[in-house]
Amino acid sequence: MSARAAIGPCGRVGLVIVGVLVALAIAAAVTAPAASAAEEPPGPVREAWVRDVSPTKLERGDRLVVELEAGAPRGPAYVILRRPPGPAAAAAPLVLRAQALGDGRVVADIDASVEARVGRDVRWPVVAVEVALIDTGHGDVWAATGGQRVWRGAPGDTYELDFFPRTVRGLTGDVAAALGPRAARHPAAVTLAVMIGVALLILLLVAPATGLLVVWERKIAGRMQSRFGPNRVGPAGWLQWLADALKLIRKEDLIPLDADPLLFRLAPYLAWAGIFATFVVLPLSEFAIVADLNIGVLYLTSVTTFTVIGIVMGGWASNSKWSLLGGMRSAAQIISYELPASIALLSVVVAAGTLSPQAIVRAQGGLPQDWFVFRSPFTFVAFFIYFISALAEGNRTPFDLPEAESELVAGFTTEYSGFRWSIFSLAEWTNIYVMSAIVATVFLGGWNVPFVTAEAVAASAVWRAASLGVMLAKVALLSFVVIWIRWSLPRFRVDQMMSLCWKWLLPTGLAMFMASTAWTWVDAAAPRLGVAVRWATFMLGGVGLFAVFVRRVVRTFRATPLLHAGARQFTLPLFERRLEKR
Amino acid sequence: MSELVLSLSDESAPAGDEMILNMGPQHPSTHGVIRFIVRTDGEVMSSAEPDVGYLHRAIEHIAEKCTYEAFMPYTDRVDYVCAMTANHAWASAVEKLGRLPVPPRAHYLRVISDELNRISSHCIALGAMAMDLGAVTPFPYALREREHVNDLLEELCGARLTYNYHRVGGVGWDLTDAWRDKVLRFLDHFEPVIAEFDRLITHNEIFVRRLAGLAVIGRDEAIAHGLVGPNLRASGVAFDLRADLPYATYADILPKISWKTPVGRGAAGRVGDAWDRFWLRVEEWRWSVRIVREALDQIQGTPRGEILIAPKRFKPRGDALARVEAARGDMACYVVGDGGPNAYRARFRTGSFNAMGLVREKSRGLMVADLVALIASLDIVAPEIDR
Repeated sequence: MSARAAIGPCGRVGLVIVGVLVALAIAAAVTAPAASAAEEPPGPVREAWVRDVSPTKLERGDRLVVELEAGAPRGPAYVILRRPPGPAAAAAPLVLRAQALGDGRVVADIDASVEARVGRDVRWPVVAVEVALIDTGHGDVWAATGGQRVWRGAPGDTYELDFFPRTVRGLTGDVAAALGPRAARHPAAVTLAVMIGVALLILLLVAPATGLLVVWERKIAGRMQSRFGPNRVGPAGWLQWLADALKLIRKEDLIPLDADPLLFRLAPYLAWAGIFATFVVLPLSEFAIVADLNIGVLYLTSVTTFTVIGIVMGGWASNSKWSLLGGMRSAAQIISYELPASIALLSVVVAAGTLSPQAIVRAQGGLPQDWFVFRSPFTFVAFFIYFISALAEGNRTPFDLPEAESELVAGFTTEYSGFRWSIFSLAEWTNIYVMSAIVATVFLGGWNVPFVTAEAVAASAVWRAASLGVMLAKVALLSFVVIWIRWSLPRFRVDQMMSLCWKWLLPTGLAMFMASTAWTWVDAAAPRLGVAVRWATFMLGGVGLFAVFVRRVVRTFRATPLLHAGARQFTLPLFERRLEKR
Repeated sequence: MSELVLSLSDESAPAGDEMILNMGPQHPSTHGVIRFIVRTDGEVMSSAEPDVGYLHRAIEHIAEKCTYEAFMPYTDRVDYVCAMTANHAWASAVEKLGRLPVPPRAHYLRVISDELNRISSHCIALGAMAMDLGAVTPFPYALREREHVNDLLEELCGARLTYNYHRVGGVGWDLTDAWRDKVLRFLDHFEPVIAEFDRLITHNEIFVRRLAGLAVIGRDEAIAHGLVGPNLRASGVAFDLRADLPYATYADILPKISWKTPVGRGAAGRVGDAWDRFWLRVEEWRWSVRIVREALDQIQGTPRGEILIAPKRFKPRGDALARVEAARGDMACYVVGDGGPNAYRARFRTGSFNAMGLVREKSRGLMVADLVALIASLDIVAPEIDR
């Protein structure tokens, strides 16, 4: 079959898909109701009961759905939420602009203007949900109560509507509220401003944190190699990253003559964007998350792959063979290891039943036996599969083939210098943090504080701060492990790297995924068995592995008594440097 | 150099998806200024052509231009990683040429300094090889020990790299008791370090898998290509000049420590693979430690201070060949005297040059990453190739 023939069907299928999508979009646009209701004369009145309200927790972007008892016509409507009597301002009803869908459901979108009126972090006791429906076409339904017809909930029905849980996302509401009614009229502008603000905030927080991680890595490497590491700039060398950054920024802006200038310039930022985009869904703590997307895990695995485009682009655009080899290796490596990584995450997703990072964290507990890594033997194996794959995706030793300095000079960064190089390395070191945070979130309990329930954490500012501390401690520990591995192990060869992925990690990951899925049913059917297995995994896998590790460390120290006191040997020279008098 | 490029492109222009990759002369893993012209299809090489000569300094020609004694500092530059044995080779050759006597204490000092230098040379070889395979930490571990050796040699002869310690007719300086104690302390410290190094890298799973069965050099092949030293022994040939053609005082020392020439055993893969060459150098560390201990013991029986019988009006005639076991194997020095104060001709035969001859053959079908491992496992030092 020729290449063209092979591409042909794919192209046709693609055309069909695009056509269907376009048709759907046109249909949706044509049938979409008008945004605002025209003034209509009063007419006959009908009544019905509100049957249900969902969801009970609302954030911007969500949709409040009110189900009516009897079928209602389509058209623009209002949903009115009445609160119990209290202080005059607080008790004012909240009127949401809505749409009646014609099947008994009335939906109201929660947008920035709602946010502006409600504020974030609000739990609204609602005594009555009312729906006002204005029929546009047939002249049989009109508004009551001063010109509007009201569909009332049962008297005494109480709903708890949680508006805008504590996320950075709630910031939009805060900002809009602070700016006053004018801002509420331009929700898009407020949203955009807040988005840029949050992005800058992440950058300003993450870039120095990454710098510190680099210094920390160099210090660990120094310790492991009987040397000091950076200790000159700032207190104990902790400002070394600043000096390095300044030096790199001041370097000459160099683009090789034969390089593709546009792609060469673009590549570092693509690689960097892929890594930084993950911060949107990484839950740093109970409250510090930009957006708790309900497809968070999918989003994570997708955007991290984005990095490979930047790396391949940089390798190709440099027009250097070393760069090209590095880019090729990187493409093969990241695309291959994406599979076991995603599948390992899926093993947890089926156990948690959600893709939302915060929900995955909430499904775990503060103590190790409640973490997903020990949920079953299958998630335990999945943990290691994910960790290894994440190392490979981040180009970390033993998978640092794309920039293997002894083979490919500097791999895809060979021709880069100065600021662009620093963006590449920023992305690389930020990735250590990102992979550690993902592992901590998905497998190691996230921000859960030991002995404290997630609800209690949410209720108290102290525990919320503690949750941030717990998460950062886990991330630091995992980052240490990543660094530790880098300075201990040699590098795989490219074929070994591939066979490890396709022959071992992927099949094992698939098996673990299926077993974990099956185990979710068993766990639900026999909860006591599930708890027993959880404890067994914890004792054998966690405690047992740690005991083996400690035993090896002790044995190593015993076997090399001279190296026992590494610090003594390190600080005191073995020999006096003074020459003996002859 | 340009001729080589031309001939390569004439005979075998890159076919199909092949490309020519110019590795060196400035490349992190070529162990000096060497160039490899690599023909590769993606990761797999079809050949790697070594292109030597970038570090040629006409050292052998310099030998014809200065007196026998004055040439000694130049021999340091023949192999600056293991300069002591080059000193030794030149001194032995000239002494043979002029039939000069050498005091026994000087022989012991030569053995001690040679073996200490062998330890430091293997530190570089093993550390750099681990580094070439991506393990960074073994390198500073090995270099830390090399620093100790350098300190010792500096105290013995005042230099840390190019020693100029041996003399025609003996050695430059005697050892002190304090120095002897320090060497013994170092050896006590170093032996557990070898075990630690083994745990750190030699038996590391990834490391073994990278090297096992890689670039196997068979016994006959090794002999045919004139491989020497650890590379030869790793291929299973038990030939070591110190034991088989003993010079200096090795004949007194080796029986005392029940010497058994270490040979490659193919413990990881096959005899003569890259891992064997690595492992063999670790073994040589162990043997060098024993030799130094024994030599330091035996040197006590020789009169203090009798270390040099300097020749007077030295104008030898004839020719002589001396061979010593350097860190990179059999280093032969051939010298012809015509009755003048300078040598008429001098020639060094070194291990690295012959090892380079195998690179082209062995690199066929290897991956780019393995070429680096192959070069490192042969322990090539650029100045020794070119001189």
